[in-house]
Amino acid sequence: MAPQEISLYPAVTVRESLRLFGGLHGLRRQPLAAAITEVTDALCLGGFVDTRIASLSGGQQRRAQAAAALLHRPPLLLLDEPTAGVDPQTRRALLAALRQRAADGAAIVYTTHYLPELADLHATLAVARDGRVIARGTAQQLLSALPGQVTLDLGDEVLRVPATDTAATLAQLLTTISKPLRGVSVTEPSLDDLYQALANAA
Amino acid sequence: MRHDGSGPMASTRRVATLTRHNLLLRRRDPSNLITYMIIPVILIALFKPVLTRLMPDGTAQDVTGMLVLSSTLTLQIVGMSLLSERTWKTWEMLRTTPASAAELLTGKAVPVLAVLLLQQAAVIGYGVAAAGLSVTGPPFLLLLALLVWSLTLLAAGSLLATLVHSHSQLAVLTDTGAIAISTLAGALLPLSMMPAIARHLAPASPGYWAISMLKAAARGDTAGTLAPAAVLGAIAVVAGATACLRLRRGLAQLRT
Repeated sequence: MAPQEISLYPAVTVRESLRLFGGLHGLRRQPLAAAITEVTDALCLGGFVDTRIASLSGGQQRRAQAAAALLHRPPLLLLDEPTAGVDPQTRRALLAALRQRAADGAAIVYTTHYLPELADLHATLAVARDGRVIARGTAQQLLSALPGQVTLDLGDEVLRVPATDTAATLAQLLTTISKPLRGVSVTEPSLDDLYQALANAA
Repeated sequence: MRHDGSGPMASTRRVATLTRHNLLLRRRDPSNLITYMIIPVILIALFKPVLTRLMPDGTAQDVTGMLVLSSTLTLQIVGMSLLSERTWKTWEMLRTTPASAAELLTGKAVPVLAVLLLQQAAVIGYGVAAAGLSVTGPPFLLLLALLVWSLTLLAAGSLLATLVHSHSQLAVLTDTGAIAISTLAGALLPLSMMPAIARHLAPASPGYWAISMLKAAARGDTAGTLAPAAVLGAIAVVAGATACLRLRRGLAQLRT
């Protein structure tokens, strides 16, 4: 488990923290050392293993916390907003490590308010509101119900057309428009749009 | 190698891991312990001329009294070791591991108990070597007395940690509590010189029983050691049981 708030001992190093949590999960000696190397490499913490937690940046502390949760290869991982307030490097490293653990067979429950990163996880999504799940499915399934938008710039006017199948709509519009086109753009619905739509509907 | 999470061997290994970790935390912040070792050394030297003039067993009163004063100040070390788990939010993280609450508390208690025994043994050692404290009783009796007093402090400090919300609250409580307990016990002034009401209230202070027990152990009086040890043992059991009951609710949820 990785709680939302940093829950590590500030006075000890990353390695000492991982020794504690690995030891409590039954890892010892060589397997423990190997697991520490593997998880710190995966989370780009290799250069900081002997740095005290208090001296790490916020993003490094987040990665150290995730490392403590991933170290012993649990079959179920609970991660509460692990990327809250982190830099892009930390987010990339965390998501890559999680994708790898999921590919290895771990079940991962991941909560976040930063919805675009869910698309990168290729996961089953559950949207919760007031403690209730109000939608569930893959990103593709959930987004298929939302319209995108085709925008045509005709010079003297801009045409915005909502479309569930943006490619087909664009093809149809191009055959019917007689004016010269200055620009075309296609906007697909995002997970943020989905959340907004679900929140408005609830 | 990875071990099964159940069984006494796995439990012992987890306690050893926790003990090592908590000793590391103690080593990283030795300032309190050093302070509480220096304080009695200075106070014993300052109070000895006065107490030896006022009491026939002035040296024993001086050393045991300052031991009780300085060791009650270490309640802050005991309390902080638990309170920090709340402020660092590490307790809930530890609870996600296979370690039980009993293992977590044992892993925390062992290093703190070692610190308390070390501090008190150092004061007694200084008392014998530099202040002329006479220890005529068997060493195990003195060791028993130090152990009982350390366990009482451990239980009381643990209870305090479940009652306060911040380090500053803990510091205020332990500092004023230490002065009150020690003064009422006659650590700074012989009870015979204190007002009648203070003499009547003295047995309410655990320090009173600690000084009686330590002085009796130093002179080899077994009965005189065991009676106050029983009183302190009862205080330790009540405080420890109350602390455990409050800890069962989870450190993060604790409220006064």
